[in-house]
Amino acid sequence: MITTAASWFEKTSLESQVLLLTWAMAEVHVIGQIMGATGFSESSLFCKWGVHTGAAWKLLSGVREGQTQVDTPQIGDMAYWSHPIDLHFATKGLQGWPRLHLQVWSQDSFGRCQLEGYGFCHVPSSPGTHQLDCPTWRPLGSWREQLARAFVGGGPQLLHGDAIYSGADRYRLHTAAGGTVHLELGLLLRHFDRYGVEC
Amino acid sequence: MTISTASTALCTARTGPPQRSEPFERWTLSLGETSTLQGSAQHMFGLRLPLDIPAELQGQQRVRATLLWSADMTSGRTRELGATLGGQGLEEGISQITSKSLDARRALVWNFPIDVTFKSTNPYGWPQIVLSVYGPDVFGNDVVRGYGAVHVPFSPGRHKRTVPMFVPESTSKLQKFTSWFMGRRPEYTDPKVVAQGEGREVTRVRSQGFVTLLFNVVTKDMRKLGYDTGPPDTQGVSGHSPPQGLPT
Repeated sequence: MITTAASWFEKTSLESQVLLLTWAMAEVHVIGQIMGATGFSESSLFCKWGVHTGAAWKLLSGVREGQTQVDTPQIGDMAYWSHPIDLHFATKGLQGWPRLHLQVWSQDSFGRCQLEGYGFCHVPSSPGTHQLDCPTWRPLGSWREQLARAFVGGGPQLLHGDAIYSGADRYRLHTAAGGTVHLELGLLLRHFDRYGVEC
Repeated sequence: MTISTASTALCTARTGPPQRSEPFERWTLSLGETSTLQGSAQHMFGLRLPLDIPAELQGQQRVRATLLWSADMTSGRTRELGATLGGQGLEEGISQITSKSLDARRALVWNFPIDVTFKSTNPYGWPQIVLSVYGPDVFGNDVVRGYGAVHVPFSPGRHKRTVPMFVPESTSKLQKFTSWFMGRRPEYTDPKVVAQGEGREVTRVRSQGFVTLLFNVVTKDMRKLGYDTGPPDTQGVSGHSPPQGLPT
């Protein structure tokens, strides 16, 4: 019975799906920007970002991941991306609250890209506009790799991106701090009070 | 010092015609008029916008700004009503050309009025204001000095936003010199690209300045539809605001 209901649901149009979901579920809108980054040693930076959610969350509209432009700041040391984020989630539960994970890379004049840091932050849980500062870290290799990185560039990277936002298997990592990514995220919640959730 | 026309007496929101064919279209009640609201509520937000757009653009003497709106209109769920940018009822507007002030502040002030109303059934695709700033270079050609975009705040009240401005940059040094010399710098063919996230992975930009916007936001029926916008923006302009024209 449940499988037929689910398959029936998947066959309905997107508009009807949204109607049914939004009647039954709580919704979260994340509307904001990845403003930029400070504190990195290189100046031409870009950011690859993605949002990871738990199984109870469904992305209704918006792109879940992306990459910003490459910015070379002329004033000060903050690289500005102003990358818009507009996501619409529907959720049945609070587990797996959305997490925004970031990878900051630098690009040199030859077009080569080098990893500058990984970071993640949870999307805020209270409605309104929030200024977030997300610290980053980058994996350190052996002294040989560090020397090579200083002269030639490159350096170790994570094989699986989920180590950025999950805590499992981190004990093997030896990392150094990178700079800070600044975000301005606005959060709109819908129907949370209907389910008795206070935030 | 500019004399501001900061009064928000301009109310250009109007009622829209009924759209009974689509299930999601509804009436909107505009402020100051006495039409009745039919059908179920929807959220609409009206914005009274600054009046004050001071800018700090490094090294620029004279600049003018083009402003336009970018919202998710493609789905048909967001409709714009009664926009006046600069009092002309347009979706986009062009400011005057301003020069740096002669006093110690060296400020660039447009003080450009914006008054726009949107209605929608879904906050996805929340409107953004896209700015393009142009100015003359040393040869007198009109070149782009910066692009920027910012989301309109969604909690009612008064908000101040500082928008960083960036210009696209070419990769090769020869092309940079050629474009500087010929006065044809890289520009976006459609400035609305700045409001989107897709397609920006391959662009190189240079950030070089800021524009400050002041928003007064009014929303309608968001709470009734179940949306919680949170407390008013505490990092916006609160309490007594300084006289218009002073970049804070």
